[in-house]
Amino acid sequence: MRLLSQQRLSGWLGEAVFQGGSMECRRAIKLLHEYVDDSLGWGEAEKIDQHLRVCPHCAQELHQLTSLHRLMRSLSRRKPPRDLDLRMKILASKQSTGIFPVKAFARLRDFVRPIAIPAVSGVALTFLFFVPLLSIFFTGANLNASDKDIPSGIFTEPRPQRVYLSQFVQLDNFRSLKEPIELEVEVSQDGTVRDYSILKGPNDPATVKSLNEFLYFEVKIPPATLFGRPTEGKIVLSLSFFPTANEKIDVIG
Amino acid sequence: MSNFEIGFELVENEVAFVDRLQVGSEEAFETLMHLYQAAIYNIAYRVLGDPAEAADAVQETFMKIFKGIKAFRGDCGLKTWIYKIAISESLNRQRWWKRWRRRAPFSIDERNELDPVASRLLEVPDSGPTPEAACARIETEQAVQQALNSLAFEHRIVIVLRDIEGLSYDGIAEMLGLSLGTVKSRLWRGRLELKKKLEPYIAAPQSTASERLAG
Repeated sequence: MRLLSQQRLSGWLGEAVFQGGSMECRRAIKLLHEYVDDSLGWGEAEKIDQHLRVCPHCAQELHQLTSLHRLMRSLSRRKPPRDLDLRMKILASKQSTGIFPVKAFARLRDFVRPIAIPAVSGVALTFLFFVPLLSIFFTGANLNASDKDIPSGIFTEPRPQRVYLSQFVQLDNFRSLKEPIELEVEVSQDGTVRDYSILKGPNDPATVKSLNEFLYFEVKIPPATLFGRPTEGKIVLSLSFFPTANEKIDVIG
Repeated sequence: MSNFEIGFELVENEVAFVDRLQVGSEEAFETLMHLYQAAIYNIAYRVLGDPAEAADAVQETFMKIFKGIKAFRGDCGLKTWIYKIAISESLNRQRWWKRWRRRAPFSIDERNELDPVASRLLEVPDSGPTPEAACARIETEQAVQQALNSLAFEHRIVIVLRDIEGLSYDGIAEMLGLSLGTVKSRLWRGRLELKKKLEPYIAAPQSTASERLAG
């Protein structure tokens, strides 16, 4: 390929180089292109001028190059097709109105960039908190409710329960009871009895004394609640005595 | 200085113009197209030798300009940057054409044989007083284009940019990413080949240059 190029080059230059016959011609031929383009320095252009005065072959070469140059410059400028201008205007319009995917992508990028770090942080924190919970959902952990309900209503009454008596309570007066004693009892926040009144039943001093010992020192009643917090409340109780192996007084609210 | 540089000076400072392009000014894009469309089309046509291919190359070039203008940092002039894109696009189309059609782009002669209407696309201005002169001019243009098509792309593009568009050696070297010496060498080889092919169209000397210089 290189050999071919050299052969062709020799052919092109043959007339000028070998008929002109000098190194000066060979150099002049190369510089003639720049001479035609008017891009030689003053000194080199002057040397070419001097050489052309005495060398008809290089002058002929110059003439051909000048003619070629003039021919190329005389070519008419090709007019673009009429529809190209319209296509270009549509292109510019689309570009400015931003319907190109690249424009849409740029807008999306500009929108997302400021919120990218907060959004990623939020997602990361969500995973951090909810992944442990996911293990509960997927491992089938028992989530049965507890029996010990905590009242969540606005107000609940005191809740009486069965009370076993201690040895310090005198039971003689209770043993003689035929019917239950009905009492209205005021219960304090800590569940102790603050005061009471006998609604039905014996009202003798001995029974009152036993009731005082029993209610003030033995009984503790879960207090009333207001919004889940203990508060004072009133309750009506019915006391019955059951003489069994474990003697007890049944307190019914 | 080419017409386009003059146009730029008339419009505004290039930096301000690029700023307007980068913010997506439709008016700026229209100005850009007005300034460069014809020149790019002419280059693409002379390089590819086919009007439809040249029009597509222009459209693709401007598409790339629109997409890439935000990345333009002014490392070279706007004109150089645009011409680089246009040359690259023309080269790509040339390669595509060669790969798929297995031959050079249509010559004007071939096109005219295939499509009789195509001769009207030449739109050669009436340069002579007689129809004969106009016909001779059309024939010359066809011959020149055919000779250009027969050159290697690397020689053809240098000749188009220098001899038809009138760009400087330095400008061509920057656009093509070549050294000044390579540009001169390619121009020299291309012109020698072109001169040989267009010998019948190159005027015979009325008198030798030595005679003219001596006179």
